[in-house]
Amino acid sequence: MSPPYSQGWSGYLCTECYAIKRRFSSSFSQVFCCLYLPFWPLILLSGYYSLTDTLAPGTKIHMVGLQNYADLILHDTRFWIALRNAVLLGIGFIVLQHPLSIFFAVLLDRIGGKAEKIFRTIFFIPCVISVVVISKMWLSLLDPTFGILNKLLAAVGLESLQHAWLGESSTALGTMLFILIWAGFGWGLLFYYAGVKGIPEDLYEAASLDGASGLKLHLRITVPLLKPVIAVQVTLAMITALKQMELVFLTTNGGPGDSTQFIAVYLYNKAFSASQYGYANAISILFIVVCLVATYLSNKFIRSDAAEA
Amino acid sequence: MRSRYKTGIWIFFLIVALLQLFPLIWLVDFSFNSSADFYSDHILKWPTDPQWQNYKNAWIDGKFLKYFLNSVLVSGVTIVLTVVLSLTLSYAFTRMQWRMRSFFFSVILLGIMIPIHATLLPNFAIFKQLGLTDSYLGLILPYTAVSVPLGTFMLTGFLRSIPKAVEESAVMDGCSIYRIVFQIIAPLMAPALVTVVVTTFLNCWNEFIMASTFLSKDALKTLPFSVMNFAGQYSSDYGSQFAVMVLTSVPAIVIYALFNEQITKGVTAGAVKG
Amino acid sequence: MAKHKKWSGLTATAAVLASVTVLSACGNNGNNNAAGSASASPNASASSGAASSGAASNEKVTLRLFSNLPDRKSGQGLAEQTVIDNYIKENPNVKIDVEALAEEPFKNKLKAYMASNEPVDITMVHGGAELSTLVQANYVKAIDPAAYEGEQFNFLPGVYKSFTFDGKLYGLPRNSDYEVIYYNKKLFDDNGVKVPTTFTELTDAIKAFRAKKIAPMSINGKDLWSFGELYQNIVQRYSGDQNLILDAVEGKKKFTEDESFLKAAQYMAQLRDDKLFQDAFMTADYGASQNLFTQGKAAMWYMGSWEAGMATNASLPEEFRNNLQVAKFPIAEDGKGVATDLIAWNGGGYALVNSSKHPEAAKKFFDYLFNANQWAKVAWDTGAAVPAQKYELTGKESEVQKQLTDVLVQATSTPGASFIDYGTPKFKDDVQNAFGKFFSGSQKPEELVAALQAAADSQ
Repeated sequence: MSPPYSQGWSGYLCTECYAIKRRFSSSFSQVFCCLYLPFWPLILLSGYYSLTDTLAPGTKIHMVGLQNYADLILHDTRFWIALRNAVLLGIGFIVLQHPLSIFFAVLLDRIGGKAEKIFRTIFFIPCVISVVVISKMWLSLLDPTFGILNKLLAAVGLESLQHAWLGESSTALGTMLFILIWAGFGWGLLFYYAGVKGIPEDLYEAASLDGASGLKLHLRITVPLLKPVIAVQVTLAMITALKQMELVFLTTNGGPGDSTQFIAVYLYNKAFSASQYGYANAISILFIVVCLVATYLSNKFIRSDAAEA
Repeated sequence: MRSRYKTGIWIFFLIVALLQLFPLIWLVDFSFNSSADFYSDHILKWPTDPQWQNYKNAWIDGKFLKYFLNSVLVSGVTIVLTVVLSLTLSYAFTRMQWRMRSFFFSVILLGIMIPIHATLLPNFAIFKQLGLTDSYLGLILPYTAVSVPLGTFMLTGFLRSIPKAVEESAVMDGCSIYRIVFQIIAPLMAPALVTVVVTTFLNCWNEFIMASTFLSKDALKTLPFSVMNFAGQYSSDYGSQFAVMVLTSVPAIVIYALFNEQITKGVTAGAVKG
Repeated sequence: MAKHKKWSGLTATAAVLASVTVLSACGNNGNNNAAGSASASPNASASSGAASSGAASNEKVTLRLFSNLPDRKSGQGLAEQTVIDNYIKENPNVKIDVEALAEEPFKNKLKAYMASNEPVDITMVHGGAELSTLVQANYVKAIDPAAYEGEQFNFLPGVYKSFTFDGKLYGLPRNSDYEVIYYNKKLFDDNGVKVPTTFTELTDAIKAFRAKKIAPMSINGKDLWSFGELYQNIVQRYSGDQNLILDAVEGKKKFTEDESFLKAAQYMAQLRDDKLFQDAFMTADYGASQNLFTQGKAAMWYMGSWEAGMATNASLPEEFRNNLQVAKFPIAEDGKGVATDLIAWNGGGYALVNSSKHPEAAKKFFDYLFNANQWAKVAWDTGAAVPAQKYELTGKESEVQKQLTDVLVQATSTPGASFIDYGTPKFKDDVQNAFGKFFSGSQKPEELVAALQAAADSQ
């Protein structure tokens, strides 16, 4: 039985109601999957709009073919800047946040006892704070006039390092990365901590009998054994970086001068502020494609990795 | 030697924890101060004259209680739906053999990838047609739609690690599929389910773009929206803005404190086995 | 490509000048200050009575008003709410639900409403580019300009420019908007700085304030549009021609050809490099830039006439309010513009919505709102804004209001439109982005001018 997509999802649901009685094991799942079909009309609708130059839904529709895509890929430097920023942010996560998380996870495992529990709890707290609060809070903290970071720098005589942080092109993206690490560090830590907890103690003992210690010990035992966790986390990091929206939207709105532009923000502003709805839809289709390619690539990476392990 | 090593970690952790919590401490501290104090030279300022007015503004003009209850309702229903759907789906994907299984699995997982903001406008138009804007359902449905893929992804990993033997004997005894999933499998998956609950909770609790687009009626609005709008209303009063931010953060921290152990267990169990 | 429809013909300068003359009478009365004013104003009770009578039905109606004024307790939000309360008092069968969002969420939500044809009854609209999208989506209703003539409404001439498309009027403006420099007199006096009247004095003031570690001028850089007004202001000061920049938007002139554009860009580069604006101006939204100024941390604030209410806002520090003054935008020594050339337009207003479920009741309230003794009077009396209608001076005006009135009354020319709103929404977005790039980096003036030309070409 092949699912009759063309009838729309509700029609499909009904045929399946009958099927439930017949073969519940298969229908049980297909029905729920079909609840997901409403997503697809949205994407199809997006695809349709992406071929037009409509200003907003409800206005005159004029087909322009693939013009939007051509403009986007060939001429739109802002789109590529947004994509580049996402990649830079992803690399930032992988190079900074993850090693840091692993390092803390190992220390947390070593310290043991009550402290292990206390610090595990504390380090996770920023993860539960709303992004609205996080962005407003950091905007204030980093404000050059009344924020404390610059006050602290002045207090220790490092006035030369003072910046407008989020307000300067050169520091904005880095600052954004810092805030995201502050807010997301706890999640990474938790997952790596779980991974570290799963490594049998005797492996370490055996290795230390061989004379390995400290960093070497961890490079030889911890990191390889954490590989599956790392693979999943790296995929999630890339996705997070690509889909970055709320924090940017609430702090810099892509500025100054596109230095923190991200695809989701760009597309939102194109659709809402610039009234280029057709164009914005072309961005969103391309965005989905980019996300899929990224997942595919990292999935491949995970698979090959799992095969090794 | 061993204990000196541990004391070292202790001190290091203490410093890091302080640095990490400092922004929050600062937030709380200044929520008790007046706007003028923000421009003083103090890094932290003991509120000699605590501005309870800030919290009064936040509570009354921020309509905290009303928005809070809305947030609880929307998050609560979303969590229940997400857990039921992700649990059943993950069971179907790991245990059942059916046509197009892997196709549907990819379809669901694509849900993680779809940038929700890309679908905001068509979504609004469709919801409008269905009469779902300005209703709790208008938020619950998209929130669930976003949470289920991630939940399914987490649960399938965990479920693969549970031996099939348990269910096989249950099937022999003639158990129905629903009993197997909800009475036998679900308890075994408790830690992973808690993780799904908490991630879903955090996502719904903090979401604001859909909330501000889909809802017009004041009676339905959720907390993050109140922070946003409060900032417009009290744009010149940082103290009150901070107070509303503190109030919004407290419930999430409390919930986290309550489930802290289970989350760790859930993640640990999942990671070790998956 | 559906070519964007231009609203109304271009040269309305004559009409605007006429408006100013009309207003002068009113302003002069104000300068006498003794009596209220002699300028004709409708009898309050008579006209409101007229508005509330007619179509007298007792059927309960709930109207939906969508507004961009979330603060209902001061400024324009209070004025809007006051009018609503007045109306409800006179029409107990009517209830008015206000949905008020802050500026950015408001704009986005309005798009969503437009997309779904939401039956709001009356909405706040921004004239120009944004309203043109609403018009194309057939979301807002055309109204008859003839119905709003005469003393009951008392609109100043030429104020419909940003609300007229293809010869049809789609909304009414609520304010006369014009850019001025608000400044903190105490900061200037204490530091021995002269309030700048020329570009050289402005750059001198920057240096003096920077030496004292005071931000010379606060601006809402995150919102970007203030840069557009600033540029228009500077271009005008060099060219002396209000229409030059509007012509360039329409493609009749080129940004890259008239040297005023380049000169203005060069001066902007100088302001940027001398650090005219506060340190984090690119992340400052409206509220943040205002706070910096009202807390006495910035000497000037480049903002519109709608901020007249600052002087009477009790939540601001008293010392600040006593020292708040208004200055005209400085002139270029080597330019043709004069200090009385004013960058004025009518930005914000209200429109009736086509999908309204109570079109008649909505129209009735709409007319009431624009009654000369409602919005215009309330907004002026409370110091919330400078209306787009003739207003009477009450003699109780704050110093700031008087200064703002003087600026308007003395104006010798106005463009009637803000250039960023004179093209398509895409043009606005591109232009604002160009300014964002320019102010956050070290772009050359030539690059800015080229980017502006590119934006005008591609709309």
